[in-house]
This record gives sequence, C-alpha cells and structure tokens, in this order.
Amino acid sequence: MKRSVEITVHVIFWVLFAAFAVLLSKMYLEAKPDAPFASHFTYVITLEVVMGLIFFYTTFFCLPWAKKSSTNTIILIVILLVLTLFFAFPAMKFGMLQVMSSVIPHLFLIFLAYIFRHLSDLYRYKQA
Amino acid sequence: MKKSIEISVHIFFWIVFTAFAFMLSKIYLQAKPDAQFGNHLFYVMSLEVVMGLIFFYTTFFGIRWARKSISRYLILAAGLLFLLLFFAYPAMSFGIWEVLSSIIPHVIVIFLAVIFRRFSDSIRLEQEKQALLLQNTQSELALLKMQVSPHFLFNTLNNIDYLVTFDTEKASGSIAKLGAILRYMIYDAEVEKIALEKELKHIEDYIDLLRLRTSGDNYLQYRLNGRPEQLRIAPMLFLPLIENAYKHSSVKEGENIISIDIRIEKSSLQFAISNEYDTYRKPTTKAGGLGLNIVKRRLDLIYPEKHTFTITKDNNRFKVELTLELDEN
Repeated sequence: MKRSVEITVHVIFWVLFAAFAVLLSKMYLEAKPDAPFASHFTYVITLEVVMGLIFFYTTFFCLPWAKKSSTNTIILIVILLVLTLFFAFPAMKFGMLQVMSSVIPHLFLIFLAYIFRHLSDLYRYKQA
Repeated sequence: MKKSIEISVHIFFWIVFTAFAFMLSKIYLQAKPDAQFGNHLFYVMSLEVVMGLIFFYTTFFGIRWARKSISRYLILAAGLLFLLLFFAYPAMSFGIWEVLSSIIPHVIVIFLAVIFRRFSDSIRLEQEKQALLLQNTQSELALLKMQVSPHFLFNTLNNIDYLVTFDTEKASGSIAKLGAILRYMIYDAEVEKIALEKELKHIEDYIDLLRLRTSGDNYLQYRLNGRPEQLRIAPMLFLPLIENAYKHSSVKEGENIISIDIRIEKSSLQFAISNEYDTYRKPTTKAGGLGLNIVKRRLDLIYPEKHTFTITKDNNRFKVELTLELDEN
C-alpha cells in the first residue's frame, strides 16, 4: 500500500465516520426534536469527530513508541483510559447507556487504530 | 500473529458491533419509547447483526475470490450494491434519513471488511515470508555445504594429481575446469537467476571432472537438445541431482550408468537424469534424500506452479525428471 493510498484510506474512514455521526444525530433528533444538542448540531458533530481523531491518532501514532517497552505500553493504556473517562464523564449524569455510548465507540476507534497501525507498519517494513 | 488471534480479533469486533447496535437501539428507544421496533428489540438486534455479518463476510471472503480477475471484482461490487439496495428498500417509505441509516452503516461495514481482509492478508504474508526466509536460509546453508564438499574436491584433486604425471595437458584442462567451477559457485551462483548457457557450461565442466573419477567417457551420457540462449535459470539446480546420481550409482565402471538428457523447447526445459542403482543395497546415509529435498524446496520457492519434479524407480534405474518454465532475457 502506497503512502498516498494509506492517506486516502484514512480520509475515506473519517468521511464515513463523520457521515455516520451526522446520521445518528439526525435520527436521534427526529426521535427527540427537543434534545439539548439540537441547537448546537454542528458543534456536536465537530466535537464527535475531534474526539474520534484524538482517540484514533493517539493510538495510531503512540503505538510504535509504546511497543518499545512495557512502561511505555502502560503509559499509553493509562492515557487512553483517562481520555475515555474524561469524555464519558459528562454523560454520567444521564445514565449508563449514555456513558456506554461514549465509551464503546471510542473503544472501537482504538481497536481500528491498532489495525491501521499494523497495516501501516507492514507497508513501512516492506519498503525497508 | 497466529490464526487464533486473528479469530479473536473478529470475535472482539462482533461483540463491540453488537454492543454498539444494542446501545444505539436502547438510546433511540429512550428518546422515542413508542418506536415501532420497541416490542421486537431482540429480533431487530439479531437482524442488524445478521445483515452486518452478511455484508462483512461477503466482502471479506469475496475479495479473495475476486482477486483473480476484474470481472469478478465487478460481480462482487454489483452483489454488494444489490444487497445495499435490497436491505435499504423497506426504509424508502420512511424517508431519506432512514435509507441513509441503512446504507451508511453497511458501507462502513464493507469498508471495515476491506481493512480486515488487508489485515488478514498482511498476517498471512508475514508468516509466509518468514517461512520462506527460513526455508531459503536452510536451502542456502545446505547448498553452501555442498559447494565446498571436501569429498568432491579431494577426489578431483587426487585425479588431477594422477593426471599431472601421465597426461599434463588433460591435468591442466582439469585444473582450469575446477577453477571455473569454483568461480561459478562462489561468484556467479550468487545471483537469483543466471543465463542458462552459463549453467549448462558449469554442468559440462562438472561432468568432465566427474568423468575423471569414472571408468570412461561412456559411463556418463550427456545429451543436450535445443537452444539455451536468451533463457535464464536459478543457478545450481541440477548439480545436486548429478551429484546424487553419481553418489548412488551401483557401480563405478561400465557404460551408460548415468544418463543426463536436457531438452529445451522455447522457454520450456526438460531435465532427466537416471542412474543404475542396487535395489538390494540399503541407503547408509540420508545425503541423497537431503540433496533431492533441497532441489524440491528451491523449486517450490523459485518456480511455484512453473515446474514439475518426479522421481521414479524402474527395475534398477533411479530416474529424476524435472520440467521448468524459464524466464527469457
């Protein structure tokens, strides 16, 4: 996979991610038009994408560093855990499901970032 | 990465996927408790997962099948498009967002399946690469051992030493041939592919030196038909076979004890070598088997699906036949 192809795959992924976030939010607003975020729709979507980017690229770029030693691995895990809890914290007053709706997608992003990292490493390894 | 880990990754993915679908449905139901699917949550969840599985594994396994031709890719794309429309069709009566709510997640699933396919292929590629590297190293090591076979060198030098007294001209020629063989083994055989002419010249030099150790020129019959020009071959493929035939010949005197036949037609090469062997004699070492295994391994590595390699034992003759599709210059 060439560098340009890798970047294209990332771009497609984020376009799909943003589309999915818009779609889910729109559907929720259809179900509950008086939802608190209704008047800040763009801001909420942007926040979702930014949070996604933070989780994804923290994992993606820090994994090679984390692989160097077990201390680094632990540091990365702690950082990701803190980030997950930090972003899930505002949802705590709404209920368990809302907390999970923050945790699970971010967990999924970390998982995907790991797979993307693996593919990227393989590409670099092949080049070397 | 092991296969079990790959399966675990898939299982983990489907657990997260199911949890995500469940969570979204629950949140939607909280926002709209009178939603139509409220009474059939379990069924809706199962349907979501089944549809996800269909999209994911149609793509995941389909890509492998589609790789063979562009028309297959088109069939796969058409199949996925049909599935997308088929599953989105019931939502059309509700509105565009509902249609998109069917299409976008499935497009994401297809995208993820492509990524997973690539991930899976990369794992397999890495494993195969490591196995090939290991095999190649083993083959190279074994070949290296054969290249500096002291047995061959001692016998040849002894014969040359004998010739120095009785036939100096032949002795000088033999030394030159031995030099050419060593040069070929050390320098020329380093490359991946070499001109067939060079390889054949090397074999002929080797045979000439072998003949010093046999009763006469007819002990070993060598025939070459066809034109080797413009063709390339992996170096040192035939040498272990010739060495093997000589080592396992039942007698060291006589005529046509070893027969080597090489035919070249266009880019196809047929190599056949046979030798007389003692059917009652039990093999004392595994050296012969090792030599043949090295050749087999190298053929599998260098000429996958471009060669045949057969060993037959007919009465008291041991025969090895090899056909190769060679590269042209």
